[in-house]
Amino acid sequence: MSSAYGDTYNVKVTSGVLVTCDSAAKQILLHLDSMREGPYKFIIRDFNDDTHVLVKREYVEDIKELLQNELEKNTYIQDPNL
Amino acid sequence: MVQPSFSHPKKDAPATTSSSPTAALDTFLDNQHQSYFEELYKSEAVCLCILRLLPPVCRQIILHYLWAHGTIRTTDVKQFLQKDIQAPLAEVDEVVRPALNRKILHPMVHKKNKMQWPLNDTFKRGLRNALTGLGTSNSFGVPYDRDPNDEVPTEEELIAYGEDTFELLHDSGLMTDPADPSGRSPNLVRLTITSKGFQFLLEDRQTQLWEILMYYLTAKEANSERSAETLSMFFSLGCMQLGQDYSASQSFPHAQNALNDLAQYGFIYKPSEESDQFFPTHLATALCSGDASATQSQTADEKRFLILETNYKIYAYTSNELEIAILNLFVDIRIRYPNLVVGKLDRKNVKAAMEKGISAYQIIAYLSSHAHPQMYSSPPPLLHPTIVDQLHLWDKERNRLKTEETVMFEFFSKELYDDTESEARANAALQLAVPGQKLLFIEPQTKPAITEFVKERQNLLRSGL
Repeated sequence: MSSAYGDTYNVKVTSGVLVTCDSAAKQILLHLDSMREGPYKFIIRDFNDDTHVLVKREYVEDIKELLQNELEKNTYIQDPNL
Repeated sequence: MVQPSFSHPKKDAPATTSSSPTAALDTFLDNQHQSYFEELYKSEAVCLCILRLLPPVCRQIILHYLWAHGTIRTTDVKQFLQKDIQAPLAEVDEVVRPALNRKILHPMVHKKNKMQWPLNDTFKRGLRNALTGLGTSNSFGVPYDRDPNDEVPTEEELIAYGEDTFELLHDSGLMTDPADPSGRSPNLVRLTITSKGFQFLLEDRQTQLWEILMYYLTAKEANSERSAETLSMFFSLGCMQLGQDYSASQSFPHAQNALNDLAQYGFIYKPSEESDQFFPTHLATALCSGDASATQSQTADEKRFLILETNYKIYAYTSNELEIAILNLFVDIRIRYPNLVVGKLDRKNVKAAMEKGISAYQIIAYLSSHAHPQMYSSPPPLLHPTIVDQLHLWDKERNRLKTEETVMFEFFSKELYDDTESEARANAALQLAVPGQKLLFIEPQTKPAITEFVKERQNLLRSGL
């Protein structure tokens, strides 16, 4: 490897919360994030991996709740009168 | 995506289940000091009960050396266990470990190249007295001097009394039937059922008893009361005989209050509040027997009342209020007849139960341990996989996200990335590596160490190796 470019050895360090989930849940998270604007976006880094995503620490509880709500919307509930 | 199989849940999954009925007691004793045991072993009954709780081989060794004058030599123990004399000490140590933990043996001493364990003198005296009937501590209880014409409850009556009181404790302490006219708001009471509470209901009777007693004891300690007297009273009760009456003031002169508390739990029966006479019930007398069935009230058949169909319908042939109240936790009860309850396992109720911390494993354990004999006549598995899987899926829904604090290192050099990855892996600091984009996710507390490492490598690489 050429050492001509000194900054090839640079390293970027970011802290946050690593979320591990199934791929469906990750897609929902990406969707939820895309609906949000500027500073309210919670995803720090999405990378080429089906089951992981890096998010901001302060939004973790919000994300869990948002996901629950989204899942609840997609659940079939039998009409009790049937 | 590969779906995990739920049909054979891993054995270690419900980590809360304890194998031994005295697990609660064991943890308590493991945390006590020498002086606490010295005080306990003054009571002969305690010595006997602690001995009974030891594993068989360990018990045998103690009994073998009980009447000997000398100390226990490791070489003798090796011979006794028919092990090679050169065998590593760890093997012997493992066998006598329970006795060391209970301070029956003192820690090993070296004397003239011989390694030996001295037997605790207090324990030795106590156990010798227990076996020969000597001693003056009255720890096995003093029979009550009763008028021969007095009426005495029979064993059956005592068992029934203990049962009723204990069931009542369940009802009032852990949960109530919503229809219970006790005046307490059922909503509030239902909030108190936690994962731990539900686990408690799944345990067998003896485990439950010890858990209650230990809970009581820790509460006493929290009030900075001496608990050794009380604990030694528990053991004394465990050595008493069902159907015999004892004198409270002479048997436990220092633990009168605790004895009265136990009366409320159904461990003992007192004809009247002030009476000096008391009868231990089967709950107390079987504490140390190690025989779980002795405390079991419900016969196996009585416990098996549940029929679960593949369409999630549940038929419970029971009129027991407690059982119905438990079912009500996660079953949508539709119909109630005098001896039959019909309901349905549905998402809403199960999830509500799971919100309280009850896991799918616990519900499944409950359903299978209460399955009606009729359910065994269909081919196994006992519970239909559809339902078991669905319960697990509902449980999973609750926490689909696993979150962990992390520090992301983003590299531009493949060399540096590879080096750091192997370093992080070697130190078990790595959470995730994404080689495609040269990303490493590191445990936050290891960040300084990894940064240090990266800097060193950077300097090396920049200087052209």
